Amino acid sequence: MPIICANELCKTFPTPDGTLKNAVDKISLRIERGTIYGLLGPNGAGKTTTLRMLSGLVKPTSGEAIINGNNVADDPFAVKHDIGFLTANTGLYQRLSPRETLYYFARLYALPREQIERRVEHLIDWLDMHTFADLRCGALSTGQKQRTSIARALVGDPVVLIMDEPTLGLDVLSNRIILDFIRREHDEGKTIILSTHYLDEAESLCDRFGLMHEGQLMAEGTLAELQADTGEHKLSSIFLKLFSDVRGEDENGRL
Amino acid sequence: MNRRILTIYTKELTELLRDRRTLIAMIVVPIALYPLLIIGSVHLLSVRGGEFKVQQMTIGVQHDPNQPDDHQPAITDLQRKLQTARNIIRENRIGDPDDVVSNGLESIERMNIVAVDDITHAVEAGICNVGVIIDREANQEGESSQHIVTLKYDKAEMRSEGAAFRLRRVFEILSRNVTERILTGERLPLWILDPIRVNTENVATPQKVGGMVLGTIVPLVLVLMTITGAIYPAIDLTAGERERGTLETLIVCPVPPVDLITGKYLVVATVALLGAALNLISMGATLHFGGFTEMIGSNGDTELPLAVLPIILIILVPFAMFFSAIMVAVCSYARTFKEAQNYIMPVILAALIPAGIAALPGTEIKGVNAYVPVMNVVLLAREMLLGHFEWLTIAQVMFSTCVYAGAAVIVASKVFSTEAAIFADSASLKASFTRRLMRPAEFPSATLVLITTAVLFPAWMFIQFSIQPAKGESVLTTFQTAAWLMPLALVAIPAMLLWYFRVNCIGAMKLRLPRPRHLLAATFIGLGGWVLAHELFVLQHAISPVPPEVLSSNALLTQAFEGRSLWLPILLIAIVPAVCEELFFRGFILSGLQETMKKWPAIIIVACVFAVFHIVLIKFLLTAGLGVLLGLLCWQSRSIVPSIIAHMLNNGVVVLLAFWPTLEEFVGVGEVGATDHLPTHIIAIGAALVVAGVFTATAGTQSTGGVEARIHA
Repeated sequence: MPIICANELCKTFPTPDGTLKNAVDKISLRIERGTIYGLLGPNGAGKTTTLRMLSGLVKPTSGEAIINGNNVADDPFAVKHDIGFLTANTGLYQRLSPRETLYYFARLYALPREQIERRVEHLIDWLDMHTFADLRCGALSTGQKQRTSIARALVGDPVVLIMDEPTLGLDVLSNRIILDFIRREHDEGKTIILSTHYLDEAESLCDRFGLMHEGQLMAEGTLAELQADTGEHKLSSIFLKLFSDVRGEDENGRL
Repeated sequence: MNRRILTIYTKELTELLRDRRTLIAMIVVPIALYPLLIIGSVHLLSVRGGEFKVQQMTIGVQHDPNQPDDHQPAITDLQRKLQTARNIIRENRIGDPDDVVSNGLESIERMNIVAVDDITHAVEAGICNVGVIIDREANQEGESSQHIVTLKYDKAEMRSEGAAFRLRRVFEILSRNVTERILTGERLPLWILDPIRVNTENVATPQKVGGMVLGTIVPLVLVLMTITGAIYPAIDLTAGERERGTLETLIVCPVPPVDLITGKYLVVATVALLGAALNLISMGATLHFGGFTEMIGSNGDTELPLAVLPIILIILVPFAMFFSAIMVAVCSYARTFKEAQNYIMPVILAALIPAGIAALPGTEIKGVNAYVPVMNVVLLAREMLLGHFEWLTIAQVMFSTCVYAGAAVIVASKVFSTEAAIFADSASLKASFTRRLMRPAEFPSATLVLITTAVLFPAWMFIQFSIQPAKGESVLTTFQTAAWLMPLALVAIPAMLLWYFRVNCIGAMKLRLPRPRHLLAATFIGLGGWVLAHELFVLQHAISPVPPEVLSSNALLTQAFEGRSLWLPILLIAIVPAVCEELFFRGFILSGLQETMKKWPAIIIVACVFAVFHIVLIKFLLTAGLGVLLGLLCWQSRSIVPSIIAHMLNNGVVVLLAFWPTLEEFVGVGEVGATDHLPTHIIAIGAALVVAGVFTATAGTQSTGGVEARIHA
């Protein structure tokens, strides 16, 4: 059984003008253990809402999500133990240091006492955080904050890592550290689902791709499958082709 | 305490204490600013007081156009009179010569006299503070006659009123002097002037007087300071966390929302209490070292009971817990810091109303007052400062405040974990109230039931009080109006809410047919219930006697329906209330609780709510007892019909016994008063019926209830 299973997830929001908008429209996903899955799409395609539904932050209007055998709606507690969630905005406690933040979240995950210290110090090592681990988070740079956030998401040693725009707005160096880290986690057997709109980055990192547009999954598969389907070589060209196909259909439909 | 809550508590407190703003609000304000404020305001008062006694005042008299300006007769006349008054004071030491404001020499020395054309106008325009017109009443005998002195002043001006007061004292001295001269001339004793002299003597201990002085202001200040201390952390830990985007990371952790909010709430309560303690210490120190004890107690009859202050801190514990919970709940709704501040203001204003009423002299901690939040704490603190310690009252205040605090924490955790509150976009907040987006449900949520009950309860109280018969009016009208309003308030409103939130009305109100067994049980309980209720009431009367006016209300009832068909009381007292109340209490409320609660707690809570809704708290035990039986019937049968039937039969039997003498005679309870035991055979039959009813209802379905209901849901 796939470690992440989404069955026709839908999320409907009312818009200010009183109509309803399907932010996510019947998304179904099957992600096998040990995959890096890239959820791609332009802004507003529904990537964040999908990830939030997978992690149990948002209740789906209909449909269900099952992670590591637990239904998100029925057993949110078990699901939250299994996932690490990295939000798009680097929300950190300004008045705590990265080390304190990590200890705090490790305790919230109810890790055994001796394991907490080991885990936190490992993460600080891996993400090269020694230089700033004891400064207040409020004083950190964007890259340092993002590394702290990633460490925070991983502190509970989750089997599934859900990352919303992990490299948004980072400099080359931080970007490199984070991408290396994602690969390393992957090598350790973790399943990772990440959303991004940097297609080149995704192409080099992910095993499978889901291309989202206006709440729907336009196409899904490995790079080779997508290349075969569209006849394009690069992921960005594949995306543009699919995108123009959808719009074309729309216009034909209207005609 | 749960380890997770402790983790959250420690972290939030650390973070909060690292914030300069908290430290300033919590420590610097009470320690430094607060004594400065008190000392400053007292200083200002004494300066103003001093200013007042040496204040120059101008007296206006009528200008005489026929005389030169420097020889105005009115001025000379008044100057002479003032001079006389001065001499009298100096020689005779009338009254208290130190009382410079009203009759002292200093006061007179600072009176200027001017002549004006129009006295009224001059006073109005502020040219003079007070105007004087002296007339001599026409008298045939000539010489000695009464003087009429008219003082014109402007009541809207403090200076003018003060001037008139000072001048009035001067004329009183002159007047008394004249009387004394006449009496002496006629060889009459001077005591004739005061045939009865009244002396007052204070019997209160100095501590008590001091307690009163403190009691009027200290509790109010403490309540305000506790609230103020809680504001910043409450906002920072909820709306602030949301605004900074850290809430999402917290919610995604495997931590139950109740733990999260409890940890945060405890931090807010701690800070509020620390603030209150610091305020108290600072206030006590200011009063003690600031020389206030000497100042207030200058004449030896006042002593500030500062030793009580630590005890007041203990009362502030439940209060701080209560208010922190309210604030956390309110702030949990807010998406930004600013929004939270906007929400908090009305809450503080609302809290100030009962606190203000409590601070009014004459408000006593009696009856309902002991249960009114905020008010009870202020009143209790005042009682303690006065040296009154009534343990029952203290227990009432502590208990009710703890209950409110608990309810507020539950609401706060519900609010905090809803997804609309997690994400700071208005669309999803709106979504949680958009009907089309709601999932149909079989039972209402506990939150919906809780909030509906909380709103309907005061509304229903208000209705009940407003339809109470006026003097001379018949109770019949009350019953008729209630019979109209009850279906609206207790059935229509919940039904509309159920419809709106897409809850299956049939399921929630349990509108399904019961098994015959449960109908039988309902009949047993309905016929025997009144015996149990009557005996419960008698038992209660034996423990704490019921006031006679409650007992005589039954006679009033019989009177009201005099000469009417028997069907009218049956309809108004038995049928309508049975249907409406069951649909609301056993239908709506019990459905909301049964998903999250176990059988007995749910039934007992609903029975208590049921009893509280019946205003007459004296009958609480009786009503709650019946409520438990009805709840049990409903829970076992999963249908509303048996409890309606039992309720109807129970009320019906009581009505028939009251209005149908034949039945009363037949049963043999004609002579039994409201507080007498029923005949033994009736008790036996009643008890047998109730036991049979409970047995019939529960037999064979031992482990049903919650689990089954949940599967059903």
